[in-house]
Amino acid sequence: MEDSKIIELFFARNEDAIRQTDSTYGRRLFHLADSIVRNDQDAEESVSDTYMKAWVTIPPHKPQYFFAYIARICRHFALDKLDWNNAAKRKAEVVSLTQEMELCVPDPQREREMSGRELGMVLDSFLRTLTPENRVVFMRRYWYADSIGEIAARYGIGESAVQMRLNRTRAKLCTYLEKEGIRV
Amino acid sequence: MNGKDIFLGLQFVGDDLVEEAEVFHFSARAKNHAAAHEKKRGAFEEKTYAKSRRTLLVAIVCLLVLLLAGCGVAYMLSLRQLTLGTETVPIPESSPISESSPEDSASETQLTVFSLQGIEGTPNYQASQEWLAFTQSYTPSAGDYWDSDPAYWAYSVQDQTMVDKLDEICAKYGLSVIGKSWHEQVDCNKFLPLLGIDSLLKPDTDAALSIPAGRYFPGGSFTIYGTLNLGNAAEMFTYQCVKKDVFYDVFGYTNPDTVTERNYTTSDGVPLLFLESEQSGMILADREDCFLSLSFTLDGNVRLDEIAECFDFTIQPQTPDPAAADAREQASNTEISSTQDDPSRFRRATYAEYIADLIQGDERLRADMPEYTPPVKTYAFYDADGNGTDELLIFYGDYIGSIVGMKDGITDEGKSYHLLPYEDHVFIHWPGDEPNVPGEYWYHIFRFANNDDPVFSNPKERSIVRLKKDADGNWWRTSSTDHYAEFDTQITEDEAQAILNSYKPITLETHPLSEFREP
Repeated sequence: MEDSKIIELFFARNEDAIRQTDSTYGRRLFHLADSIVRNDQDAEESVSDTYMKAWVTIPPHKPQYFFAYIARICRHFALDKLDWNNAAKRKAEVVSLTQEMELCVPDPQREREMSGRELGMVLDSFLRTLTPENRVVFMRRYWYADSIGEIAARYGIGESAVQMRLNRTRAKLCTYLEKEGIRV
Repeated sequence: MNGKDIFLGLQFVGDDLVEEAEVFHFSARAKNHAAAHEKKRGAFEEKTYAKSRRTLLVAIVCLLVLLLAGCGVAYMLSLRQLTLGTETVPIPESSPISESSPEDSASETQLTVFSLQGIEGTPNYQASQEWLAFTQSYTPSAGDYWDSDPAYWAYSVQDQTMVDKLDEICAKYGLSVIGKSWHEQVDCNKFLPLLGIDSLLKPDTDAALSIPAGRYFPGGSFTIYGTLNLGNAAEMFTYQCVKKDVFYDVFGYTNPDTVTERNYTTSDGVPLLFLESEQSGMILADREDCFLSLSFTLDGNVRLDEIAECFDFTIQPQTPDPAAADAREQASNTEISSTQDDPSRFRRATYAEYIADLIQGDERLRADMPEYTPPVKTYAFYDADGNGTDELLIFYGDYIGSIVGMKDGITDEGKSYHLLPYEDHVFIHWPGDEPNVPGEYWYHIFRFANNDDPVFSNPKERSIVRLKKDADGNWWRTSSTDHYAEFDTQITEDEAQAILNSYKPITLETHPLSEFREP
């Protein structure tokens, strides 16, 4: 079912909205959550929580990008369920992702204080300076928590090409964060 | 900031970027380019991307003197007056992207570093120049994690030597440390009044601001991140205001070869400096008691002149009341961490109202989407958790889709299910037509806890066993009743069927929603 129709279902307060969302996007949401939590039950529950959150937020929200809207909710729930302290034991991909992200931190000792939302705004600005190819590779890796192989397969490029794009983008992000985006 | 912070910070990037990563396809050229690189890795490779257009540097060296009523002499800013030095950084993304090796020497470029606090000769400029020179030559001491006094959290200082140098520079030029900031994560319009600012925009502009994040300092300096909505355009910006009695270690960076600069005076007489590149722009205003800088990501449809006329560059930020700022920051943190939505919306005081909503929803759908036929819904009352109180069960066809309880006097539908009921208050969650993992079918056999929790979802679920048929047709079960147990034990299909068949289904008396009656 098309996104607009699903949103109509939400606005009509018809619980078929949840079933149609599940039918259309359930697998993708599950994959996203599972990439983060690496546990089937946790992932399933993240997806279920996502549907209920969408149910109470649409309306009033009428998302322009429906999948992005529910995927963001799902990512939030999955990250919320993630036991960061024990993530390594569960071989969560997110551990290696955060380790890769450490390479973007210009000053791991003591960086300029920023709230999550401020950092999000800076990251958003940074991503918009990238070429679409490099941007989507970065997003697949660090937003969707896809593996290198999955990204390569999705876009039909080699794994080394994915690695190279990520390496370069991380280096640029490091510089960008250091400069805090005040650049023209 | 650490890697986890960045990972979590990505949660706030735009929906369009999230969507793009889901639907984007590499062009054939990009794929071919990558493939060619795969074959010839390490060898010289012709860059197939067209060179980025380079705009000519227009050197504006004239100083235009404007007489402002009662204010004495104003001058026209120039990049030359603000230039502090240079810095080598990775090549800008707007330049051609090569798949050649990361070690490629062409991946670096030199940028001009300029002051965002004052022109040549001012204490702010001199302090910035000295700090830049210091940080470019200084290697911070490595070792255990070090943290500064909160008053220095706004700076990028990495050890006590840097803090001492910063203090020295501030004292030398008669400037103060900017201090510990307050953070806003919901709407900066809520803290601007604390600085004595009604709006960043002129009162007569048609533009609108969305400013969800920012920070502000004890002396009135601030940084705000947001979007300017002007007509059909939405321009993202960072707005920084640094008071002239403080030193702040944030600089501007630009490539003079790809940037044009020009002066502009607003309709209310404020002289500005514009720096423009193909994709971004900056507006600088050197005011009497503060230096303002706005950096924009430009989409090409809006000129900096139009943007500049929207903003009020005559603002005079004041020192905020610390207690009020503390309160606002706390409120902001609470708001951002809360659901931001009232979970009680759409919950009703009676089951009848809840059912009426469902009926109205179907009716509205039939009107709006005649081609769509909602599944037949029926209801039943059943004591799902065995605590002596019946709950409202909503069936979608043969399966229970919702178990609605009453929590704090209003309905709560818990989570979305696909259940069949069995004797002894057992339920089995059956896989739907579209399993989460293609080819895998999961079954959850459980009871709901017999307790006072009226919300039918986890943690009320008490697992008996989970079964899974994987994509290869193998069956698995959990060996633990832990809610998050893994499918760790392989079993035969006969064993799986025996488990499923060991529970005796019950038939509940269901009724059409239109015939609803309270129990």
